[in-house]
Formats: sequence, C-alpha cells, structure tokens
Amino acid sequence: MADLFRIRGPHLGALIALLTAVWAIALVIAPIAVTAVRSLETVDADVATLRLERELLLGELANLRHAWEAVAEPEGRADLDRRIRLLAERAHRLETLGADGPVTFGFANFARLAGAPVAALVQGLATAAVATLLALLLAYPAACATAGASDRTRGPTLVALLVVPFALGEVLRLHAWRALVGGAPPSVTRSPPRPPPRSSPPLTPSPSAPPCCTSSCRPRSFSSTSPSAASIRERSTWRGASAPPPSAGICASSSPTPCPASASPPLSSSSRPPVRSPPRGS
Amino acid sequence: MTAGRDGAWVAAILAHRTADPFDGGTAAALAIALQLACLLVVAALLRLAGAHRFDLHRSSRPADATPLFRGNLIRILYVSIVASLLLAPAAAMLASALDGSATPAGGLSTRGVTALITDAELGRACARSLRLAGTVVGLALPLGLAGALVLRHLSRRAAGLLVALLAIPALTPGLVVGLSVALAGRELGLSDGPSLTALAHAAVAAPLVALLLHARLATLDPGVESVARDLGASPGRVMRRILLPHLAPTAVVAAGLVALRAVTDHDIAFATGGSTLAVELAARATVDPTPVIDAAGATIIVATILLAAAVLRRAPASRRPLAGAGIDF
Repeated sequence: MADLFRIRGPHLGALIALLTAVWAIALVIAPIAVTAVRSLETVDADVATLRLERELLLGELANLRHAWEAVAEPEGRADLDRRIRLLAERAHRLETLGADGPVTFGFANFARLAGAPVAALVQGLATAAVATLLALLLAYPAACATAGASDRTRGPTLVALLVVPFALGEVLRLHAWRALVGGAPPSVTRSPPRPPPRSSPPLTPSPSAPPCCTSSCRPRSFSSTSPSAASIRERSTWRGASAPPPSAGICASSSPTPCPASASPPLSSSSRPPVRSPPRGS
Repeated sequence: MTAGRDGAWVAAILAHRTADPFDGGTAAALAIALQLACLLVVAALLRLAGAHRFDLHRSSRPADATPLFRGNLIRILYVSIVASLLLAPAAAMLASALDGSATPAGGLSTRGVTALITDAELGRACARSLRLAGTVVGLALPLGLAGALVLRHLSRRAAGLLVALLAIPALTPGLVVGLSVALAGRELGLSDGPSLTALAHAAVAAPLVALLLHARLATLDPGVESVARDLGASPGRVMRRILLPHLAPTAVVAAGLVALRAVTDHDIAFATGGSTLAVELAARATVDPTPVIDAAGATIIVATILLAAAVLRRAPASRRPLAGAGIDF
C-alpha cells in the first residue's frame, strides 16, 4: 500500500485508495450488512398483513392522485377527491391499528427458509451442473476457433461467437429458444422482491408528479403455455393470497416512474391490469 | 461458477415468499444465506485450484493455441455445431422479426419493426436502459481503475482478500444483489428506481472492469513508469501520458461489455424496481408475445454487431485491447 502512495504521489494515491474504499463500503459491505440485519428482523404475521394492506392502499392512493392531476374538470376532480379522502382515512386507520408493530430479532426467517426450497435447490444444482458441462463443451471449441483464427479474422470470430450470444440477454434468449424449440416451460410465478419500505410515504398529496405504476404492478409469470393474457392473470398469484387481484388497480407505492396518464399503446394495453381511470367530466 | 449464478431456485423461493404475508425478512434471510453459500463455494474452488499460489502480479501471456483435434473435418464440424448453437437464438430473433407468415400478405413483413418504432413506451424504456448503461459505465470505470491500481500495489495476501471481498456481488445471483442494494438504499431513504439499479449494476460491473484492467496493467513494464518518474514527470503526468493510454483499449472493451450487460440484464433491474427495456420486454414476452419483442431483440443484435464492428475498425490488431486477459484480438 505504501507503494501506491510512493508511485502515484500523495494526491492521486489518496484518490485511488478513497475510490476503492468507497466501492468496498458502499457497494459491497453496506448492502450485505443491511441485508444481514434485515434477515434477523421479524414482524408478527398479522402486523405484516396489515402493513401489506396499508402499502397497497398507499399505492392506490398514489394512482388516484396521479389521475387527479390528469383531470382538469372540477366534476371529475370532486369525485376523485372523495375517493382519495376515503382511501387516506382507511390507510390512516390501518396505521393506528398497529401496522407499525414491534420488530423482534431472531432466526425465525431462516427457520422458515429451511423447509421450503429443498426441491428447488436440488433442481437448481442439477441445472447448474448441466449448464457447466454444456458451457465447457461450447466454450472450448469457441476458444480454439478464436485462438486459431488469423489476426484479420480473430475480431469478427470473437464478436460472432461471444459477443452476439451475450448481447441478447437472458430474457430475449429464453424467448428465442422457446420459439425455436416450441416447448412449454413449467409455470413459475415470479413476484418482485419488494419488502415494505421502513419509512412510510406521506399521506398528504404531493405537488410533484406522484409515482405511477406502468410496470411494477403487472402480474409477472414465467409461463408461456397460453398466450392469453386473461388466463395468465387468473392463474398467477399476485402478491400472495391475501392481496387483492390486480384488477383492483393497486400497485406498489414505491414505483418511481412518472408517466403521462394518457400513454397506453394499443399493443400492450391487454397485458396491463386496468388502472381505474377517473370519469373525464361531462 | 455457474452454480453461483443460477437463479432458478431463487426465483422459486421468491415466488414461494409471496404466498406468505408480505415480509421482507425471509427474502433477506435468503439473500444472506445465498451470499454465504456463494462465498463458501468460491473459497472452496479457489483452494482446490491452489489459488493461494496464484500470482496476481505475474504477467500472463496467452498460451499458444493447441489444436483441438487433428482431423480438420471433425474440428470444423464441431466448431460449426457450436457456432450454430450459440447463434441460434440470435438467428431466430432476426428471422421472426421479419417473418410475416401470420399476416395476410405472408412472406417478409416489417410489422414488428414498425410496431417497435411506434411504441412510445418501449422507446422510453429503451432510453432508460441507455441512460442506465451510461451511468453504470461512468461508475464502474473509475471504480474498476482504482481497484486495479490498488491491487497492483498490494501484497499478494491482501490482494487476494480484497479481490474476494469486491467480487462477492459479481458472483451472487443478480436477484440477490439487487435485493441487497435495494434494502440498503431504503435504509438511506432512496426508493426503488433507476439510481438503485445503477448502483447494483455498478457493484456487479466494477469487479469485471477491475479484472480486465488489472490483466492489462500486467502487460505494462513497470520500468517505463519509473524511467518517466526519474526523468522528472509528475505522478499525474505519468498517469495521463503512460498509464491511461496503455489501458484505453481495454477500457473501451470493458465499457462495452458493462454497457451491454446493463442493457440486457433483467434480474438486477427487476429486483431494484428499475423499469428497463429488459424488464419491459420480459413482462410482455410472458403475457403477450408480439412481433415487437422479436423486433427489439433483432435491433439489439444488429446494434451490437455495428458497434463491435466500429470498435474493431478503429482498433488495429496490433493494439490488442484484451492482451493479458487471455483474450487477444
């Protein structure tokens, strides 16, 4: 380490050491530490349900406020005002019901983890083994072809064999393989890992554009057995059994994407849970 | 290594989690357990490989290519099978983007491409993805460069420890990295969104940049720098005139790889609530498979090939941007 300051000088050396320290602390140690602490925290199941309900209410509230800003007519706004007031009251009541209950520390989360995922773990390890074998079989000749290519053809070979397959990303690659093979994968419902935020958003209407839920409240399912959006929506459990169905137009309040209320391209409108649109006056 | 990256069972558990009352604790427990498991697996692998005898400071030269098979025909056959397997998805994307057999006219069709261009929401997602890629490159390049320089001057043992620490995010599944960063961000009052996605991506990308730059650094004769210093060059000038030009070609390639990963990655953006192009496409591909997705995939492929061609054209073979990393073009 002394070499660093001797060779790079005190200023550059300090800058380099500082950047590395920031990297290690902010991007590696802090996330792991916070996750470790959170993994030991448990809230009562009833309290957790109340929190979820409140979070969903707040999400709908944000939606309504967004709609309120898009509506200019006083009649439409009055209707929305009533709804917003009702929802805010309900959210407030849930809060006073003890939605911010006590947090206990312990290994309960790990105990819950222990029972569930054995089959998934075994399947994942088997997949990993097969994938490793396939990767070796595919990568070795690709590496040989690249190494054996002449100086002129090496770059293009590298791009064709390594960069282009890499460029698709897992989502599109899966899509393409599905189209090629035509197989239907097992249905796996996947929901965003979105624990409730510790600090609750304010209940008062914000003057800036509230968050809108274009993509975060969409039901996500890895099934492609049926292209029908409605049937998938029926099958997919959306945020668990205790949550209302997506057609209620509720979404997570923490979605950051502001979007104009009118933007709804025809191609994707069927894939979206209908957001309750306010009456546009008369 | 693949074991550490396989997210199938993570997804299954995340799905399982949603059947419970909403509770982030279990997911956090899962994330910690996974990170510990990854660390143990990597430590075991490194020990098996005798990594404690690895010399990070050794200049690694690519070994001479040994022929895979003597028979030329078999070799060509094998390589072409591999190439077709690797390129099949890309080819399928390109073909189905222009496939018009579902339309009344049949034959070739630009329906998907037209829909892609006119789709305002995808356009916005694409812009968000590009902005994310720019941010990630801007974060990961300085961090990776600093990390590579620190590694060069550390003792072997300390360098090994630092590498092990910094590489944790790169070796854990993207969902877990995203979840961890999102949890830490919430502690600081940051809500899910593009900034958290960029931070999580930087945590994954910086080790890759550091690895590539460190390998490139190994090909720089330390004598050159010390001669410059002895002749009176300031440390800043040595950095500007010798070190950075030497690293530049590798930095370009590293930036390209990092940007490509940021654009195409789904898991990290998904876990941190960033609505990037990949997340948008994944949400559509499962519910509503339309030609737009094929067209988007085809566009990404074509853009990648064009960019790579531009980089290759600018960098003559003699510069060898990846020399030292074992890759040499």
